[in-house]
This record gives sequence, C-alpha cells and structure tokens, in this order.
Amino acid sequence: MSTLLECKGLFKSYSGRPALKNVNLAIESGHIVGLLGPNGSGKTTLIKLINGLLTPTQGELYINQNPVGVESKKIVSYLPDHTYLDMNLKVRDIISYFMDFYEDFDEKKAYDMLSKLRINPGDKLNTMSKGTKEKVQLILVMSRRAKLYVLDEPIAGVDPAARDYILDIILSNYEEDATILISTHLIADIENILDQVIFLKHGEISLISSVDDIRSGQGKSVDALFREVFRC
Amino acid sequence: MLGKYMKHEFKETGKLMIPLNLVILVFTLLGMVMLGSRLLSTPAMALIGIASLTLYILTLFAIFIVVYVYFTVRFYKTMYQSQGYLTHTLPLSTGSIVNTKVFVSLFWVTVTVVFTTLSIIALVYTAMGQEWGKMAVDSDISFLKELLFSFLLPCFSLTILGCLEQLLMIYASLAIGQLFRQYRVLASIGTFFVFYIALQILGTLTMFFTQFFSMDRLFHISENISGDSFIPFYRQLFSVSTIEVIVFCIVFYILCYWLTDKKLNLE
Repeated sequence: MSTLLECKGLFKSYSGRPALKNVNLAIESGHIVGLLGPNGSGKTTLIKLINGLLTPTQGELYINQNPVGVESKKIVSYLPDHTYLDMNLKVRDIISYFMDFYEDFDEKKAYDMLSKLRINPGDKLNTMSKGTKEKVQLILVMSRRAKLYVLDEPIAGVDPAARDYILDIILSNYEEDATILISTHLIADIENILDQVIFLKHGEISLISSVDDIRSGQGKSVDALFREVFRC
Repeated sequence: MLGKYMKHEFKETGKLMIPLNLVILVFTLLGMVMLGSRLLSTPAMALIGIASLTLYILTLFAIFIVVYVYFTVRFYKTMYQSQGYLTHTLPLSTGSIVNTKVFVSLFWVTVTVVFTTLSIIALVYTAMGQEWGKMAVDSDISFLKELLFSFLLPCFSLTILGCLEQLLMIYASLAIGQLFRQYRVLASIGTFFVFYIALQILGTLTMFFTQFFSMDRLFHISENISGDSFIPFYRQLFSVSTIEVIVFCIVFYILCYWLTDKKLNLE
C-alpha cells in the first residue's frame, strides 16, 4: 500500500492563534479513516489544508507524492460541511459542470443515485430542503472515482435514519483502493465502518491507531476511548 | 480545462449580461423611432422627449453600476465565499481561475461600452441626420483620419484599459479583504477606497513628473488644446495615461493573483 496523504510538520495559525500544531501524518490508500475530535480541535482546518482552501503557516503536505495543487485536486473528492454550490443551478447543470472538470466523474452513477433518492435532476437547488441539498452534494462527491474522499461532517445535522442512509451511500460508492477521510464528532454512528482513527486535540494529533488495536489492545470501543480522551 | 471553465463563466455571466445589453438595444431603437418620426417637434411632446432622454441617460448609468456590482459580488462569492470551495477544488491553477474571471468580466464590460457608444452614435445620427453627413463630407479627409486614429481609437482603448484597471482594483481589494478574519466586506471596501485615493494621487504626480501639467502648460492650457495642437495634446495625454493605467493594472493583477495563490483564506 502506498502513502496517499502525508503531512510533515504542519502548522496553521489564524492571526497568531494556532489551529494546528506540528501535525505529522501518513495515510495509506485503501482505508476508511476517522478524523475525530471535538469542535474546534482543528479537523476542518486540516481538511481545508488538504484541499488547498487554506495555506499552511509552516510545513508540507503531499497527496500521492504531489504538493496540493492541480494534480492533487484531480484525485481528491471533497465534501465540505456546508452547501457550496450555486443555488440557482439545476442538479442536471451541476452534474454537467462536474463532468467537465473531473475526468473521474461517473455520470451514470450520479443519475442512478438521484433516481434512487427520488431527486429530480431538473429541480433547482434553491427549491430543495436542506437535507436534499446535502444528499445532492454527497451524490456528486461519491460519483467520482477518486483516490481520496475527504468528507467533512457528512452526518452532522441529519436525523439518525438519514445518517445510516448517508453512510450506506458512502460505503457502497467508493472505490476499493481509495481512502476515505471522514471527519466527525459523532463517533458511535461511524465507528463500525472505520479502519483507522486520528484523534485531534487542540490542534495536535493525540492518537493515530487502527480501530482493531483500540478494541483488542485497550478493550474499548472508539466511542468510549474518545469520551475518555476528550472528557471536559 | 481552461476552455471549459471559460465556457461555464460565459454561460453564467451571460444570463445577466445579455438581457442588460438588450435593454440598451431596445432603448436605442425606441429613441431612434421617436427622433426619426419627428414626434418630438411639437412643444407638448418636447417634455416627453426630455423625460425620455433623462430616462435613457439614467438607464445607461444604472446598467454600468449593475455590471460592476454584479462582477464584484460574483467574484467575491465564487472566490472567497461558500462557492469558492468549489472553485478552488477544481483541478485548475490559480492563474487559470483569475485570468478567466478577469477576461470574462472585461469582455462583458467591453461589450457594454461598445453597445453604449453605438447607441449614443445612433441616436445622435438620427437626431442630426444629414447635417452630420454633410459635416463629414466638408471636412478634410486627412483630419478625419487623424481624428480617428489619434483621438477616437486611443480614447476607446484607454476607456477599455480604464475598465480593466477598475475591475482589477476591485478584485485586488477583495483579495485583500479575504485575509481578514472578520468584517471582510468592510475591509474590501476600505481597501478599495485606499487604492482609489492612492491612484488619484499617483496619477496627478505622474502628470507633474512627466511635465504634462507643468505650471507653464497649466497657464496656457486653453491655448494648447485649440486649433492645430488639439490632436498632439491628446496624443501625449493618452500616451502618459495609457502607460500609467497599464502599470496600475499589472500591480493590481499581481496582488490579486499572489494573494489568491499564496494566501487563500477560506475560513
């Protein structure tokens, strides 16, 4: 397995206030990795750095041996924690937009998922409910045959039934050799699908471990360990 | 990839820009019909004529304001707000993104300037009709040629360059505004005004340093812009202004590009 994502001495600060401190990390392909931490721990900052939406204060970041840039963006499929599409567009227009820019976009897959969820491709985003918009975004992201899927809080703000459905979409649509980096603080809901976890605390990595090691080595669930590590 | 991005930018911006330019076209045609039919020759209709002219001028101003506000808001939304998350995760270089945005906005501003100019010419021609044609025939052909190449065309080029300078100044202001954690819009507006004032000061200083506004010239300005020296005066003015505008364009472009490429801050 090759290293897909590598962070070397990564620092990020906002107006002198550190958000990430000396993050060193290597993630291999073919894993589902949970980026876990309480609110404000630096999860979204790290994800934005991976996607080139922020520039690091210090340190280096490589995706498939490339620095963040055009080449890395070709293989990373990113789901932000909020709506980021032009609300005046129809779903069909957005699909054609994604097809134009991402060579790995699977149009048939996107329309199949829309059909299963009974979303009309002719509808404009601004006529949809918040939950439907989120589903459209997830469909767009998961319709790519990317090497790295970066999902920022994909199940936050939705009801438990919808959470299962979203996780099902994620699991049944990603490429086998791809890696999913999924950020959340709702550990219990995603624990069963994770291979690895990264705990972020006050901008620093406090733990990198496989889920099996946590369960067998410490005899705890990831959720239980999370509550222990991040107890207020 | 750049071509595809440009195609989408044209498609999106065209949704507003085509109807706006059609408004100019419709107003021009209406104006030509009114002026051509001599409907306004009676005193009673003259008032309607004045009101129509006022409405026409206000519409042209409003269209230019809408164009600039639209491109400002669009640039801000698609570069530094939520839609920026999509823009900056497309497999495109920062140069491709910034160049496309600048090119497409300049294209539409140029189209609007051309439509407006043609509209004014068409209305004046309709109003003056044959007298205008007669004036052209009576004039010396070499003077008309010089007027076209030494005054009208440079004037048009400078207008378009000025529009580019304005767009780049706005984009550079937004690029600086996005660096702030809070009050980003306010910071962008503040930066724009600082740039604007700096531009005025530097512009005036340039004129003095190039001896264009020497005290001697200021005292004899009316003499200088009359008669045979009319065209040379403007030729010199255009040369100095063009160099100045190009320099400012380069500075604003570099600022916008560098800040977006190296200091992007989508918090």
